Amino acid sequence: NGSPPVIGGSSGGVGPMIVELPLEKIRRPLMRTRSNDQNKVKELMDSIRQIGLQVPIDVIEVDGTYYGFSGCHRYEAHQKLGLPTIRCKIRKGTKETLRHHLR
Amino acid sequence: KAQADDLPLVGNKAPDFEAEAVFDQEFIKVKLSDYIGKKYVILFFYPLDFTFVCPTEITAFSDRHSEFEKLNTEVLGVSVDSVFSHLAWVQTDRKSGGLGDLNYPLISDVTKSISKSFGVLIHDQGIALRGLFIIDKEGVIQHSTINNLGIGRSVDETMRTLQALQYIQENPDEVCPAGWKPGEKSMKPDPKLSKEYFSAI
Repeated sequence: NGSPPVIGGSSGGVGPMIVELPLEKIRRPLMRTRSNDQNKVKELMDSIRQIGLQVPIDVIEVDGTYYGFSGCHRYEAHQKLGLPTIRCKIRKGTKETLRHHLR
Repeated sequence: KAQADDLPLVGNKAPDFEAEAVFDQEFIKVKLSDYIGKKYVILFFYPLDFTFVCPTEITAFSDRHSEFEKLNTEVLGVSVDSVFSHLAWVQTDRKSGGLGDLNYPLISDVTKSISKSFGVLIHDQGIALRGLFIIDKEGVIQHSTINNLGIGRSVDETMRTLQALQYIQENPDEVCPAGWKPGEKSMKPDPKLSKEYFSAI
C-alpha cells in the first residue's frame, strides 16, 4: 500500500512509530507564518550531515495524511541538505487534534 | 465584566486579575495591577502547553527578555493550563518538545476568566486565541493584536510598537509615522508642524 517502512518503535502497532517519511509527504500548514533562526538551521545541517538526525520530528497522522507543526529547524535543515526523507515520530490524531494545532 | 462588553479594550484600563503562575520553576502569584506605576506589561495568550507547534514566540520573548527589561517592561504569558502543566513544560527541555526555563512568568488561567475578560476565549474549545496586549504604566491597554489559525507573533514588531508607544508617551506633542523606529523622525500632529517632518525625510 506504499506505506513507509518501519525502522523502529513498537512492533505491535501500539503508540507512536518512528518512520522515515519523504519530506513532501508532510503537510506543514504553519510553515509560511513563521521564520526559522538561520544560525540554528546551519548548526543542525552540520550536525545532521555528520551524525544524522538524533531526535525524530513529531508528526500527526490524520486520515492517512501527515501533518508537522514542530521540528521546524530540523525540517528546514533536511530541505537545505537536499535529503529526500526525514525521521519522524508518527502519532495518530483526530480532526480535533488538528484543530488544536491550527489555533 | 460589563466593561469588556461595553468598551473597547484599547484605550481603557486593563481588566485586573490575580492568578497563580510559574516562574523560575516555582509557584508565584501575579497581580496585574501590581505593575501600575512601575512597569509596562506585555501580556500574551497562547492556546495550550505541550502542543506540537514550535513554541518559537514563547522562547523568543524569553531569549530577548533583557531587551524588554531595559525598556522597563515585564512579559507575562497566559494559557488555560494549570500551573502544574506549566511547570512540567518548562522542566522539559526544548529538544523534547518542552520549553526549557523561561525568563518571565507563565500564568495559569484555569478558570478562563482572564481569557474571557480580554476577549480572547474561544468558548466552544475552552482555549485562548493568540492575543497580545501592551499595557502602559498607568494600567491602560495601548495596543492589541489577536491572531487566529496558529499564526505566530513577531517579537520584533512587538518591540517596535512598545518603543513607539513609549516615545509618544514621553513626547506627547508628537506622533509616530508608519513603520517608525527609535531614532527616526517623528511627526507633529499639526498641519503646519508636520511639514517639519515631511521636509526632513
